[in-house]
Amino acid sequence: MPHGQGDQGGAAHAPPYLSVTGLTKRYGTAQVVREVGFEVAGGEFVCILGPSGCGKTTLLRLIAGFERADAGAIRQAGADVTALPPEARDFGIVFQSYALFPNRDVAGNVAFGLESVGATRAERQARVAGLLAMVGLAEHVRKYPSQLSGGQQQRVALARALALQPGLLLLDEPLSALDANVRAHLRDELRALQRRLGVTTLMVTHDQSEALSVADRIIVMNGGRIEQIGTPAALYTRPASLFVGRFLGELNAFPLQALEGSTARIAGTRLVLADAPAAVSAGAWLCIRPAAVVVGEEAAGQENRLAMRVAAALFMGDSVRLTLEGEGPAVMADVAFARLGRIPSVGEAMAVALPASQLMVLPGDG
Amino acid sequence: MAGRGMAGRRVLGHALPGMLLLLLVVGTALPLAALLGRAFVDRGGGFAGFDNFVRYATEPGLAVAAWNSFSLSALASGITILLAYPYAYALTRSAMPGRFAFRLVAMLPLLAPSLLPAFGMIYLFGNQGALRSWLLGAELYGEVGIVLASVFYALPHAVLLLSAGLAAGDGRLYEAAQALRAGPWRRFATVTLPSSRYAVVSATSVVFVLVFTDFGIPTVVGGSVNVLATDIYKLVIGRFDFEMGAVVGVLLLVPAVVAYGIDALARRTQRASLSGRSVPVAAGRMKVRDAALFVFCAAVAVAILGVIGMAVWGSLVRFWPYNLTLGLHNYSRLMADADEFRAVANSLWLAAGTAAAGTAMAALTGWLVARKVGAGWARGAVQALAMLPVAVPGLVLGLGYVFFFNNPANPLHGLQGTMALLVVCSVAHFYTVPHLMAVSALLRLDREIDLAAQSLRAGPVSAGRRIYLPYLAPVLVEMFGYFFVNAMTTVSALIFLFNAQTRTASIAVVNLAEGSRFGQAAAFAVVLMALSLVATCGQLLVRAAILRRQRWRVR
Repeated sequence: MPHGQGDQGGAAHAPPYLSVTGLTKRYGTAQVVREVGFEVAGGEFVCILGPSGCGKTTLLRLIAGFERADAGAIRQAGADVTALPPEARDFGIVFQSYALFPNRDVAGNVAFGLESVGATRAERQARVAGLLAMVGLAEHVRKYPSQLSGGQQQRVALARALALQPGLLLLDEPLSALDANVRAHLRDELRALQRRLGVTTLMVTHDQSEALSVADRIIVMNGGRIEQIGTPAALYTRPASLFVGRFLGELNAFPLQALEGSTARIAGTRLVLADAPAAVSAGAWLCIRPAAVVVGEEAAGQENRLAMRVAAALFMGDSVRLTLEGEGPAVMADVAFARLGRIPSVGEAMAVALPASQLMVLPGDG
Repeated sequence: MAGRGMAGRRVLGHALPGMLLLLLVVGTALPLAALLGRAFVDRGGGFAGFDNFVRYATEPGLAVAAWNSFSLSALASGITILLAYPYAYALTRSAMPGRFAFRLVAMLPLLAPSLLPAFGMIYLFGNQGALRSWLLGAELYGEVGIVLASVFYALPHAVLLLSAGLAAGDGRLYEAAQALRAGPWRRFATVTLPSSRYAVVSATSVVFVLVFTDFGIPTVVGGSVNVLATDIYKLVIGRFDFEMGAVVGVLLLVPAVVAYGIDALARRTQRASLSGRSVPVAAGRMKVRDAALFVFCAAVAVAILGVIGMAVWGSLVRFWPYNLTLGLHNYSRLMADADEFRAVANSLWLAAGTAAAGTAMAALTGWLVARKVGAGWARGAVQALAMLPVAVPGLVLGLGYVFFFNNPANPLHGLQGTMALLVVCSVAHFYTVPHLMAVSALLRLDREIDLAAQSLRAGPVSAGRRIYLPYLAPVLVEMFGYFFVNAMTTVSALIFLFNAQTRTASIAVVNLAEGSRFGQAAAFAVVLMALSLVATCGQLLVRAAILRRQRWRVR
């Protein structure tokens, strides 16, 4: 693992509820999951984040037991579950498609698992009523999946996954099939519900804003490997690689030409860093988030000041995205509209500062 | 719970695919292999290379049957498609009145053995026929009769395939053509015809094989014209020349396999040409066109009803053509004769047994293939073997059964001459379509449904009972109906296998026709058609009842 092994947050103190070590999965010659290892503490909400094809869904399926690992081990609640089939493990899962049973009504879907384990009719009814009240679907008990909206189906899937009171909740892109408004709303509800129940949760997503907003910690995957593990804030402000930095949000990245102490040289200019980074590999990048770029009067008196011109100004509601050009590479800056009070015109001269504390030196992808 | 699920999964993952595979191998692959093998050995059992084929080609009178089969099937296919295309077009694309009724009439011949149209032809155009003069002096028995009756027999299949193809058109293309100022003829020539060409290829190959391998029609109206389907019977039953029979079997099999290959290719290409965003074509109203189509469809429908009506009339006539008093004479003779009565009972047993066993097995193989149960290679083999029978003519399969099960060295030798073997053969013969019905229905269920059930502690058996069975119920009824009606009317697969105890009504029809007892033969065919009609109506009613109960299907 190249990066981020030390950054395990609070998981190191309590004994982990779920621990994965050296997990590997091959399809033919393609390694889809490569020696993945991490730990999740009891009650934690961890997101597995990555682009499509990065192996995140396969990792979730390995943890569920839908796939058999070629190497490595999975321990859950102190027991090795690596060789167990799904029905012998302790988890509930929500799929991207929800996979509701079309021939069963809402109550029938939620009760399905309870029937499997032989719960009595009274137990089932009480539990189903409680779960549906919890997800706010009490009045839809007798409806069938085809009669429900996407958001309602998602809630049924969640109630169904929680019916057996699993120790581990697995969510496979549970929100990605929903409209933007519903998605944000359900995301917040999901987070609140998880907090209330305290169920250890692992959610796969490719949406970085979703991961940043709900997760206690995020596991960023790329090409079957873990790129970095950490809290949302840590990953956002201190990404371990250009990949992680770019994946979590917009990023200005300039090829680093040379590093002399705490001074970095990029094409056309030198920039001062807050502290001298450790030795960096060839092909490293000097990066800064567009929102951290300072423009206009506030740039006065700051270090790393550049004289630039506005090449493009894109109004985005709360903010304006400026593309600025000068002697060196173009810089993207997100500036609060309230602060600008207007949309700068193209060609306008503008002072720009890249605050030393916000500059990051990141290794490249190669 | 988990323990039971795991045990269930072990059984299903290994034992079930193996068992189904074994059944399919015994039911289809091994009999076919026995037939193919027989074509390449001499009478003593030594390897003969192509000697048998050379003997077939050089012995006078044999090879001509191959040419007859080819040319007559090609001619009948051409005429069938020419009639079926406008008929299907009228059903799917016009606002012609009575479309539903026309559809029903076109499907009627499906319910009867292929012999029924042949009887109708005899009563209409035979030497004593009511419309004898319409043939302009030509003789019915021979080429004319084979082609006419074959067209009638194959028409519903062609109409079904073509109307499915025409119904799947893309409405956006028509709007685009209209926006580009293309008139109705130009739209037909540039959009309708090209987009339905795969359906035409598909229907042509299916019809060709139907006619090419049909046994009933040439037996009754073929006269002295030999075709492969009747030759194979004469060679095996009349001359006990099993090697020549096997050669003819190969000659029947190869074109059938090729034609189904073409059909499969055409279907795949057509599927690929339709995108998920296609908009259904709205049937437009065009007065002149619709009137013309109505006249055409009415003519075809009258012909269909006429031929069936003549067969029914023939069954009611005391002694055609000499005594035309109507009555149930032929029917009461059927009921009075123990042999004939038993044949009806045998048909019912065969149909019910085939439908029960076939539906159960096809549901399992469909489930295996669609839900990816068990090892990949086993699933692949099951799918391949399940697809095989559609390309194998019944006569070929039946002869393969003779070679395979008559072999004293075969441990299953004891099945020979039993009703059970007839059931096995019928299941194998009609296996592909119901298997595909189950596959396509189960493929429509989300793949993650299985995983969801597993995560909720339900093993495969439990999930099968609680999810797949209710989901599949209406399709199971359809599969049952398909097996039932086909087993009821089939002749070709059983003609080599029956004996006096297991003779079915459809075979009795052939026997009676061979003995020129057309009245009784027609009566039998009508009884079979009535039973098939009852079975079909029953199937529709049961299906409708299930759908009404399954409220979850309606949106």
